[in-house]
Amino acid sequence: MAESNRYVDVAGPAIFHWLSQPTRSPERDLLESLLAVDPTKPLDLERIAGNLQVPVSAIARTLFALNRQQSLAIATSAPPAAEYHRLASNLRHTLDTLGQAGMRIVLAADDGLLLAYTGCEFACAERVAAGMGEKEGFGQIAHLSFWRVSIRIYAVEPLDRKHRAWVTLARLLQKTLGSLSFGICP
Amino acid sequence: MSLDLIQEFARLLQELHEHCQDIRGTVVATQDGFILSASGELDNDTAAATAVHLTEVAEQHLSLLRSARCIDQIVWTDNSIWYITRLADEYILMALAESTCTPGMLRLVSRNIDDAVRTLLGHARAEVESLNQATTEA
Repeated sequence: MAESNRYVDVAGPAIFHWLSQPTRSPERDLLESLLAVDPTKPLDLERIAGNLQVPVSAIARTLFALNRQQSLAIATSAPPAAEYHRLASNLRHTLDTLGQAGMRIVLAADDGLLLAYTGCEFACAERVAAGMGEKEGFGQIAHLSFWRVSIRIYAVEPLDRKHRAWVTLARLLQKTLGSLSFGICP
Repeated sequence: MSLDLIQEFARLLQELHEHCQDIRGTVVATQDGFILSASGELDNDTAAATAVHLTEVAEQHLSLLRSARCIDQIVWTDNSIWYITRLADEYILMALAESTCTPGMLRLVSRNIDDAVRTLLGHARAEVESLNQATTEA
């Protein structure tokens, strides 16, 4: 196997940590780059370095740092493409996958308007988005920053933060709302 | 306006459909109420004129209470959601969605479309300026 054939994806818990950072950093830039590429294809360091306009050596250093912090999932064989593309087909599908795993989640804009939800009724989700979900057991678990907007994630604990669908969800949100480093990608 | 720009508007409206499910139709109108681009149930002249009229009426009536420039409107009716917003201060976008549509996503994606339209218009103006300059020099 060629040395370059490494399949690198973001680990679920890293989504909550790095996308909660409101400012750019080499780690966050790289994480956003990884979210912007297809994880079923081998990692192309040169392409990522080109997009971020930094040397490949700097990308490699950041990659090692992220790996030490267990923010990455690295494999030597490609993850199943069909499963990834099925999950990544749309936001509702991805959220439903988390809902089917027993999680109750509401995504809201900072203005309190509802973005998406799973595991509860529409009316309940609207109350939660408006910050009135305590009675239903919802608490804010993350405040993720995207390009010029940030969103709140409310959920009922316990929550499986390692579930792969969180990464797909972050991918779709970044595609829709833009990233700190790239804005809205064409 | 070049054909490419109109195609870009159609592409942006398609994005709204992709990101916000349960949308029944969209329309982009010029400030004088003419249709520029549209989809689904709002693909008609009446929808374009209505989008502009609603924006003007809201502004006029609210201005009686306090000077106001209408940027976004969300109207919940008994079975649907209407969303109206300005694009690049030059056009009005109106979307009709099922009541199950999440208004936050509608608003955030529309904000992205507003940015994209501003960029598009910037490119179009630069193109026109460059053509004018070339004509003057010739």
